[in-house]
Amino acid sequence: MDFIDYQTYAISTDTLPNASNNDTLPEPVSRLNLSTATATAIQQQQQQQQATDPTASFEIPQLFQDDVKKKKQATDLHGKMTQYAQNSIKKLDSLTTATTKLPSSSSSSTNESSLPVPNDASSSMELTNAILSRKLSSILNDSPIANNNTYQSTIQMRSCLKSLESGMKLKNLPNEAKLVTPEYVGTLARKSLRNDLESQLLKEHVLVLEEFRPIVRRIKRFTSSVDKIESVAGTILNKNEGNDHATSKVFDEVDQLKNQMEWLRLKRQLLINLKEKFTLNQVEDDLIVNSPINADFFVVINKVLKIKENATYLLALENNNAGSCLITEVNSTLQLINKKIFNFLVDFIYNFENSTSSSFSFKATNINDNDDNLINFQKSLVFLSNDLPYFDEFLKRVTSIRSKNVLDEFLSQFDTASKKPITMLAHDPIRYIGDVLASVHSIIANEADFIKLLFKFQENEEQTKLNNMEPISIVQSNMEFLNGLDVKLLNEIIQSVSNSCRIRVEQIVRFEENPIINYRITQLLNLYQLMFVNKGINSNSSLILNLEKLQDISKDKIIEYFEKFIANVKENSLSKENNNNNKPKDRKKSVDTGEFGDDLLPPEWLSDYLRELVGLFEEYEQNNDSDTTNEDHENKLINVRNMKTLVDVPIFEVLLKQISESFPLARKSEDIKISMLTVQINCFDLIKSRLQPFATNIFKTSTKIHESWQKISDNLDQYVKQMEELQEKLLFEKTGLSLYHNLFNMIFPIDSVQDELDYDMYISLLDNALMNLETINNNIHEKLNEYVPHALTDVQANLLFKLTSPTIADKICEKSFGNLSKFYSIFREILLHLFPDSQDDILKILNFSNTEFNTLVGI
Amino acid sequence: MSRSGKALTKYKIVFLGEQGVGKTSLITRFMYDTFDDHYQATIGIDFLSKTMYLDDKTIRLQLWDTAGQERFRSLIPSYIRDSRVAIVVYDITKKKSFEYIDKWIEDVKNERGDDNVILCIVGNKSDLSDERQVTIEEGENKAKILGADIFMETSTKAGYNVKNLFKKIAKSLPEFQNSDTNPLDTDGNGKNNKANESSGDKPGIIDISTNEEQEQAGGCQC
Repeated sequence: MDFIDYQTYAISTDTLPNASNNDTLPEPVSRLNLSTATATAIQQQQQQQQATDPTASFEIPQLFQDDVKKKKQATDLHGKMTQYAQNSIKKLDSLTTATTKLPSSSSSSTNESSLPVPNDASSSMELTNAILSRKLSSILNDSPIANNNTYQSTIQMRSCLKSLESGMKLKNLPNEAKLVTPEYVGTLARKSLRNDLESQLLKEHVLVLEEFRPIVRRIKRFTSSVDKIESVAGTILNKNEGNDHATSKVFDEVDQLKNQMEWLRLKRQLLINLKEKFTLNQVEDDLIVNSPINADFFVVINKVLKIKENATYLLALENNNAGSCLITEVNSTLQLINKKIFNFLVDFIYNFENSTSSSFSFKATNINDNDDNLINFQKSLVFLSNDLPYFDEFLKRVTSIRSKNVLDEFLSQFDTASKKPITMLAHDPIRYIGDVLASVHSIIANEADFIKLLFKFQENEEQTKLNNMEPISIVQSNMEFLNGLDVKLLNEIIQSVSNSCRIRVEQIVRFEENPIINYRITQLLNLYQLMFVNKGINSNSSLILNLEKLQDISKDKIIEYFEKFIANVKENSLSKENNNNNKPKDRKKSVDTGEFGDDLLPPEWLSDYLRELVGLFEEYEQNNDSDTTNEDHENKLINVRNMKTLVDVPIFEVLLKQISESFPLARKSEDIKISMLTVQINCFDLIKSRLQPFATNIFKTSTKIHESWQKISDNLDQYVKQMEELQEKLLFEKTGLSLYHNLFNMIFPIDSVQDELDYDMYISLLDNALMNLETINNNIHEKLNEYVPHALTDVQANLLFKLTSPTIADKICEKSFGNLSKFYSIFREILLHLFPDSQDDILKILNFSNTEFNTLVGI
Repeated sequence: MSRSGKALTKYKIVFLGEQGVGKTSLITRFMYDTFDDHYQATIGIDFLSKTMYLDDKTIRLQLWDTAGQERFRSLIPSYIRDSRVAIVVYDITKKKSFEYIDKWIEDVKNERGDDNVILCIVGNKSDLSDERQVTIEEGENKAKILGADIFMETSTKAGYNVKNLFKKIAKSLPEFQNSDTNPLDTDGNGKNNKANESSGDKPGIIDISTNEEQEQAGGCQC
């Protein structure tokens, strides 16, 4: 029995000339001997096989529907094989009826013309291989996979072949070689392979069908329901047939319901959106109540603010109830948030306080610029600025807490139990006040550090961060309450020490009498005002105003000191005068020398006064610098009013009055006049010499002040001049030349006489009886000879001896003796000119030559 | 949330010295790392604060800049009395300013006594080597004699040794005393140990002769 090789069939379709007809199958070819096999033999073999093989009626299971199968037949291998199998079975059936005999091997030779038969065995094998190759390639080419002719199809084909090969290996199929052998063993192997393949295929199909089992079961389960629905539907449709009105009504109702459903859906969507936009969810509610102040909390705050902003739009609706209700609700939430933030801020400050030590090493909370706590604090502060009452309350709390702290710190400096208390040591008020103000300065430095850290909103970074908080209220965006908040708080906090500081400094200022120390105090106070203002303390703050007041007090004390000084002088002078009035016996002495004693020196008080004044001026000169003083001219110590008190009043009022009162007979007595002038010159010389260093600075401060200085100089010059005149007059009187000096001056001023020609001006005097030489001799000669030799000594020793300034004394001497000498010389010359015949007499009367005269008077 | 956090200790540092030695510029260099050629005299007393991060510790330095002018001298003792560090600055090109160091140190000792004060002597303007009137040795000797804790030459114009100075000062503060290194005992090149030996029991003078690399690398993290 020969195994029907379907592939051989397939090849034969190509090779045989009648292969084009699908119904005409090629003759089955015996593998045993293809060359000798005849169609008849094959047919016989097939019939035999059919008879014996129970699988002859085998039909490849149809997994597909008929139409699909038909398509597949033409396309895939499975279809083809099915077709071949069916055709061959049909053919076999027909053959069975035609002939029952199997072809013998001998008869094959009779049909050799139908197939090309090789001459020998080797060529027969080659031919077989060639045919098989062609068949295989034909099958592969016909395959739908191979027809695609793409890389993917090639891969697919390869994988198919590989799986076939691997399947063969797995199934422990007989050796491949055995399968392809043409002998009986090969036939058996191929047969068993077929069986295996069929059983395997069946198993596979069963497995596939098993997967469909649950689906089928489900379908069966629904079958009854579907049938029922179908029957009901049929009933309904049948019933409603011809009742269009009812149907349309139902459809309308359905439409309405549909619309209503759509409307409700939209409404739901709208409400959901409204809920999202206008309400807080439970988590957010919980965050507001229970969450700590952090970034999440601010997100919720932003949402609340957004809701409030959105709620305002609702107010524009005709019925604004929703808007107003929502706003009320949001406001209550915001109130809660504000309260929470307020508590957080207060808590923050209290915690800071608790962590701050007031010990020697100043401590502050370790909050750096990038700290989240700080950012939260500042964000909270910005938010709280929307609620002014809370915001103000918080600022008040901060101010009160910090003020107390600052005040405690300040007062602890004076606690004697402390490590280094500020105490008044060795009566150094400047040091004490300096320590007090330095401690305030230090407090300001510490406080400014703290305040700037918490309350200074950096322009760029923080502003950007804060601006990121949406939405921003108008107040917030203006930063009305936040700009300069640090400076404002610093000022408010520092105010707490202003009174204590004032009291401490005032204790010193009130009792300090020394004008120089007082001036130093004013300078110190002024300098600290400047430094405090530079560190952000407002110039109109109570601290600065207190310092200004203290400065004014100190300044007033300076002037007061000098006023008191002068008042004492006046009082003393008055009491002395009263004493003198009560003691008439001493009156004469008092009248002669006044308050000034026999040496006619300036009064002691004047020296003391000037010493104090000069000390003050020196201090003023050293420290008065436009860099360190912020006072205007009127507020400066040296101003017109103060200079009048310091200089004009004591000199031009008190001193001159005292001098004039001391020398009441000066007008009557030349001696007293000389004494008075001596005192005046001494006093004014002292004043001028002591105040001279300040002529170009302090006395140049203003025109009016300079006038005081000018007045002093003018007075001195005037007194010197008066003294010169008086001395001159006395000299002329004592030398007997006075009469002639007056006479000559009446005719023509002696000072104007230039040369001998001018002498003729005096010719008219020849008629005067006084110009008689004898009279002249009697009037002049004796006096001249008596006085001139010791005139210089007389003047210097007696008259000018009491002048303290030798320069002025020399000047007076020089001037008066110069005039005397000049007159003597001119007088002598004029007499010689007028009396040319009596020259010897004249030379006897005026017996000193000009040189001798000058020598004698010290010129 | 721990709001109180760790306490940050503040230290007051007072700068002393004659007029024009560079006290303000030393502070400016430290604070802003800048130098202004234009001289402007300090009026009264000024202060600036700076937080310094060093060896994982943070301290806040409060720098009190005093005026060198005579007329402001009376203010200065009040600021020395509560300062933890006194930096006496002299100008290496002005012998007179160096001679006045004794007076300044005396002022500090009068105010603080033997209290816990860190004395520093700083010779500024080291970039003007052509005009030098005070040698490093003189400065070191003076520091040794006066018992200064730190001696250093700086140039605020060139930015030399300024950060190093403040770093050493910071390390001398109690905040850093308990840490692993004692600035008074150690130095980069070991010369300080010699100085310690020579000065007996007294805490040694910090040797300033750190080389350029050390100086550049030794900046603080502020």
